Amino acid sequence: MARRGSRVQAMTDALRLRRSMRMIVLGSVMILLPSMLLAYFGISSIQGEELAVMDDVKAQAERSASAFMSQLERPFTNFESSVLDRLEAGRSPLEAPQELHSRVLVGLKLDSDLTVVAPFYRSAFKAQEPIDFLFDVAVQRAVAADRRDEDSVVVSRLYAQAARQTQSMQTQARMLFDRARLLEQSGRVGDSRMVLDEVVSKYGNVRDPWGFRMEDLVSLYRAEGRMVQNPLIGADDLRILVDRVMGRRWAIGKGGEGAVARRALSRLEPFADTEWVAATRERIDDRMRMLFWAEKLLPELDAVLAGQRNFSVDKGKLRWVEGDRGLWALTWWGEDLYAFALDRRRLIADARSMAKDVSQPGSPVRGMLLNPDVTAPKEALSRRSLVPWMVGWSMVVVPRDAQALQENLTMRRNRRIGIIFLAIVLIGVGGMSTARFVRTELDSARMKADFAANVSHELRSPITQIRLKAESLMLGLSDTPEEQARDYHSIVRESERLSRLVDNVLDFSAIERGAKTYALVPGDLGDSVRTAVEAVETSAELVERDLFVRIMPDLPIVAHDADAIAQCVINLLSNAAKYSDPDKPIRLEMVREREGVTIRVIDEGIGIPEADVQQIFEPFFRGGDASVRRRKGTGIGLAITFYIVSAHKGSVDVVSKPGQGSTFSLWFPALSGDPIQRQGV
Amino acid sequence: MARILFVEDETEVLGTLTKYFERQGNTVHGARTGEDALAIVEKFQPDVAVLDVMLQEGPAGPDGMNGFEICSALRDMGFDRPILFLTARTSEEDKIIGFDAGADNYVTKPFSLPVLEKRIEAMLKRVGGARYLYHFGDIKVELGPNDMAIHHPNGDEPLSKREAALLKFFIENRGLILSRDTLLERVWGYRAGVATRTVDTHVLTVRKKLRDNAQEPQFIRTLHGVGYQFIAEES
Repeated sequence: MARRGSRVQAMTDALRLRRSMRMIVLGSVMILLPSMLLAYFGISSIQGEELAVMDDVKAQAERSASAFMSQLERPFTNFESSVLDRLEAGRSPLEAPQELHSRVLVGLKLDSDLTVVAPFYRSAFKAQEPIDFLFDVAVQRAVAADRRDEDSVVVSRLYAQAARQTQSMQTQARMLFDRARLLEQSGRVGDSRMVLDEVVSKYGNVRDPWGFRMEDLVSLYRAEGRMVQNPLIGADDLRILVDRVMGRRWAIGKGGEGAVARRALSRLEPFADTEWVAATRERIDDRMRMLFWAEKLLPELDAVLAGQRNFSVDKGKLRWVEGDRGLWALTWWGEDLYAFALDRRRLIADARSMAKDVSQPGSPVRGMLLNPDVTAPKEALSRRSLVPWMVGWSMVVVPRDAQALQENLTMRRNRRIGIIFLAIVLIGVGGMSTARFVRTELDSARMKADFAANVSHELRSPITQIRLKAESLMLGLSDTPEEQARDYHSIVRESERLSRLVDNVLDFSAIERGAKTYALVPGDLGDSVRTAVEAVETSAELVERDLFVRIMPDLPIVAHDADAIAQCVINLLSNAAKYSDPDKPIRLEMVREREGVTIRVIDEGIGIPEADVQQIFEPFFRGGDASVRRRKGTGIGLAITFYIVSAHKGSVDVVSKPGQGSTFSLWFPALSGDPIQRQGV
Repeated sequence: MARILFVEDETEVLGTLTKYFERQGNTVHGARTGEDALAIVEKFQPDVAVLDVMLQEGPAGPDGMNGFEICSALRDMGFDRPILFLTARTSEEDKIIGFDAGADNYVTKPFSLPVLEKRIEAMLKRVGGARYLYHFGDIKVELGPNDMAIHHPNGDEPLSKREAALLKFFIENRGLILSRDTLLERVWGYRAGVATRTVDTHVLTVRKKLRDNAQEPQFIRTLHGVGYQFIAEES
């Protein structure tokens, strides 16, 4: 039987379960879905932000690297184009090469045999040829005779003898030049001029031990001598000398041309155009600097060219080859090879400085130059190779402070995760609050729906009885007068039941609207209760029950509304009958308590679960127990009772044990003060 | 006339229903609890069951079965006759549960007795009418349109339409002395005064099928020169 009964219960439960499942699904959708979406997009956002930060840093690194390369390339490309432009224009790129690139040390032109042809040449001249001691003695003898003004034939013979004592052209040339000066000092100007002519004709291209070319020395000597006689003419001679020297190739390893040009320039400076002097001095200095580097770098050039003997370059291009000291730019132009040495060390220093300065001070990145022996750090964000100028060298951009960057990312990530977590918690709390609110509302709605159903049922039951009894009388089902009397009596009783129910509902409605008022009249509460009991003891619920009433004498006067008190008593007695077996007695007691009167209704019924005790005075509440729900009732009787007692400034108490019964106590304060009060609820 | 089971906890309602439907010639069984209802169905197999839902009173009290559960239990035990709910519960949910439990009709209180009667008749018509099932100790007599037979514990005795009509007339007029002319007129439709042995022949056959002893009859007693009297009481 229990199995059969459970089937219907299962159907009822299934309807409720479906509603609960809908709530659970709705709750899940409300909480889980937004949480998952938030978590998904939050994590994506974190990743996106991290990527964005890294992208930003990388972009800055790229910009820095590009700026560096642009800065580095520009002088090189300018140099390339300038060299080629000059060549195209027929101008020598070897003149003032610093205009082409500030780090140019020397520019050389070589022929197809890779022999230096401009602006210098390699000289086979040895700085100091060995001294011939015999020559030295002989020449001193000749000089001594010359100073003594001995016979010119004798002196000439002595000089010729001295000249035969040496094979050195250098020595011979110098000896003649010294003799010419000696002759001039001794006033023999004509002889001196003749000797100087001989020096020029015989030894013009010979260089003295200090590298001076004899012709240049003679020209300088003569011009200076002329300066004494006629400065303007002398200055012209010196200018011609300077132009000649500058227009000629200089010998590598010899500084004679430069020294002659500088001296000539300093002598003629007071008589020459200032700009010309300045420009010429600069040209001389350039030439001398290049000469210095040409001498230093020739071995390196030889080594470079040894490895590049058959190289070819596209027209309009330079080929870059690294030496130890110089960075060599090579290009063929016709049959000629142009080689420029740039100061490699300075270039590296420049590049290092450039790499360091390429990022702004506040930038999260910094640049650094790496030589070929160093591997790039793993945190490198961008890298540029310095090919073709410096093979193996590279410029890398790294975070200025990698640890700080990582800490920044970690901090941002943790903050985002915290916010997401907080948002999820808030969604959860909000969802749960909403679910609780919805559940409360649903419970309330269900209770109200139950109330409507219960009221409907409670109204229909007496109406049904009244109608049936009326039909019974009408159809003649009641044969005897006794039966008819019973039917009439039943109609009256059910009408009273109906009336009580309607009163309860209307009172409740008025209480809900705040419109219910009670006329509190001082009087004997016992009398009111007694009257109520007499009215209800013959009702359908109590007519067959054992009802014991015990009202203590001399109860204090209580200001009360007799009808309302009757309503309370009837509600409590009706409940006691409803929730206890018919053979169990019901007791009503009235006693003096705490300066007031307590009405106590005691039954031995099913009792109230502890969890429900706090709620039984709430409207519509009918307990969670199925055994309670099956009993007929509206769920407002106790709520009305509570309102009525509260309106009398009394209190309600209930003591109950499931399975043993319940005791409801209504306490009303004894009267003190105004005999008639109107109390609104 | 049908055999009707009313399950109703309100004594006065049950009394009025019983009185009304008995007056209409039905056999009425009343029950105030589910246990009583199941016992009655098992024993008398009524033609229709009318159930209240809220059954508050009775020995089992509110913890016993409600009308929905009784309906479900009846269907589980193989009761295939119409079931009607007669209740003050009017909600749609209650109606759905009622029909799901196996009800054929749902009438809400208050109701009209004649209308309820017509509803019951209509339901019976749909299932072929009342079965006219009678219990006499171990013997079960079924006189409905679908099955006409006397069911003995050790075998069935099928009845012809005339025999069934004769036995039904006897049962419905149990205790009354019925003359041959009355039987001819009411069962055969002949006018009185027709001389025929057909009544005696059919009574003999029915008695034989009831396995009744003419010397010591349990069912049909012969009153010589007067007629017959059906003396058995349902149990």
